[in-house]
Amino acid sequence: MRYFDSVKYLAGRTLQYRFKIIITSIIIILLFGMVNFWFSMKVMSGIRSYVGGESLWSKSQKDAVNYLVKYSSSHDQADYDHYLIFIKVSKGDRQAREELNKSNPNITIVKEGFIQGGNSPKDVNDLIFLYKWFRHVSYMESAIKIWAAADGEIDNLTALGNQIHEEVAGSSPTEQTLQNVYAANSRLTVLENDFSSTLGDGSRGIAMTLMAITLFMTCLLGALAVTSAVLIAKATVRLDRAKTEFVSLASHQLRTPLTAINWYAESLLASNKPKRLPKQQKQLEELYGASQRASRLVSDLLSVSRLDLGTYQTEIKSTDVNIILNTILKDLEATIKKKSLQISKKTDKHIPKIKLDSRLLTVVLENLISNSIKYTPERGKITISLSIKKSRLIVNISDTGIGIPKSQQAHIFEKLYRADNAKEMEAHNTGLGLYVCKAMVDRMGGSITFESVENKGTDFHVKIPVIVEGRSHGKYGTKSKG
Amino acid sequence: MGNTAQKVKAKQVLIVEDDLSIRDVLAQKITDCGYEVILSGDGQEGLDLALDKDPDLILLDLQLPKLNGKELLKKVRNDEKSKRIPVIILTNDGSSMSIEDTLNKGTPAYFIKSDTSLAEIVEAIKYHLV
Repeated sequence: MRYFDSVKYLAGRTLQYRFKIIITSIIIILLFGMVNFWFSMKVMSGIRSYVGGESLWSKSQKDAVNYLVKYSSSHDQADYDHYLIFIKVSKGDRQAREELNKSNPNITIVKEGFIQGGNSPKDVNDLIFLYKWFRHVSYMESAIKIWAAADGEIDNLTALGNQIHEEVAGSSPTEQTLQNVYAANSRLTVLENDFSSTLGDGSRGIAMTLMAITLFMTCLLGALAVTSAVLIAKATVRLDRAKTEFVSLASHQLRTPLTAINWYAESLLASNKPKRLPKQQKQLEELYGASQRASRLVSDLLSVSRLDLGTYQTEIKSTDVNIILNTILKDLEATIKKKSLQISKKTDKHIPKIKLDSRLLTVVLENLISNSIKYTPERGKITISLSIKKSRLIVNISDTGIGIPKSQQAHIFEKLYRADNAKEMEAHNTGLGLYVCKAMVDRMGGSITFESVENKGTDFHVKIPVIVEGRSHGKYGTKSKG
Repeated sequence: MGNTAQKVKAKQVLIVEDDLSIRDVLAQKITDCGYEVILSGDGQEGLDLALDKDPDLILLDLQLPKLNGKELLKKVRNDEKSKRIPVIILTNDGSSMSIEDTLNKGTPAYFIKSDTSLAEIVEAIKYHLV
């Protein structure tokens, strides 16, 4: 029930807050996981050092016994010296342990002891760590008790060593003394085995516990990651739905009244001109122009939304690019004439039909050409060339227009961006045209680049991969609007 | 067909459009161009008129009350008598799905209302009613 309570709690919060909580939890769990990992490695490494140290300890103890027995018959001082070296190993470990048992241990003495105990200096820190933190913990505590019990046997062995040394100086060690050595040795062997198995059991237990913790945390982390993924997906879906709703709202609620304004203004302009005052005629023209701008803006916004949402469906069909270009130029004829622009078309007359999404191409060409017309001062020149090279439609549109300031060139494909000189010349535009162009060219798998010098002009280059049809007439005719 | 007897009668254009202002301005313009117009504000009535009056051309909106434009188009196309009537779609739904759908149903032209001028529509009507 707790889990569901927390879900309920989260459901009532804002999305941002939910993300904050989930991300914070993920970070906390990750940090905890890292600490857990470090700790596990440290513990396992400590246990490994103790197991290693124990086998060294037991080997030294056996070597000490062997040299002592050998010395008792050889009476060779070298053998006795060897015995002394080996018995010191167990004493080193003892020194370390006894120092660590003190409430305020001297770490130098501890380290010295462990090193004397034959442990690798690299293991010493792990040995100290494990002893400090786990000496009172179940298996570790039992192992330490066994280890301390061996101290007595080592003392005993030391005493026997001294006794044999004295006996050798006198005559020969008695059989009884040797028997005592053997007895101490077998008791130590039992303790060593106990120590090993206790530590082994302990390490298995610890390993299992740590594994369980790690597994639990991994699951928790996974659950949180899935929860946040679901949250993100849900939020995205909701956002997409909101956008789609806006798109249809814009398309139906805005376009219908705009159409009425457009058409009434057009009707008025087409009728009874002589009856109007020049001022009224001008106002009517302004009205018509403004409503058309609004319509174009809505269309641009719709294109942007569709492209952004990815709901645009590509439609590849046989296309005659010359027809597209001519239709666009025909639509723009009035403005071209008004500004006395010189348009030169450099297109191959026998340009083959190609397969592509003609609606996308139309919008791209429309935007680029109408931009050139807009931003080229009167009596300027615009050159449009179309060609097909290696399954690529190559379009170049160059003008003698106002150009794009160098410092702003990097931004012109950004949504709603407009260069300063363009704003000055055409206050009404939206800064969506080139964004839409770029998005559409991308959609067609092509590229769009430009070179521009301020006050000299701009050259746009578009390259679009296409399927080139045979030189014969295509199967499908392209019907123009009329 | 060159039938001289029919030339006397003005050609009929059925306009199916639910927005009153748009219907009104379209009707005026088309009447001014010498056609007779039949008006309808919903899909069901539009369909009845299309089947009953056998107009020479239909201007069809897609979002319509009672019966939507796509359904109307389908029914007209399935009718033996009416299936040859040219239908020009006039809509503000520019989604590619709608365009493809209706063009596949044998519609010769498709206009986004807010991007089209009355002159272009008249041109299209003339093209199909020559």
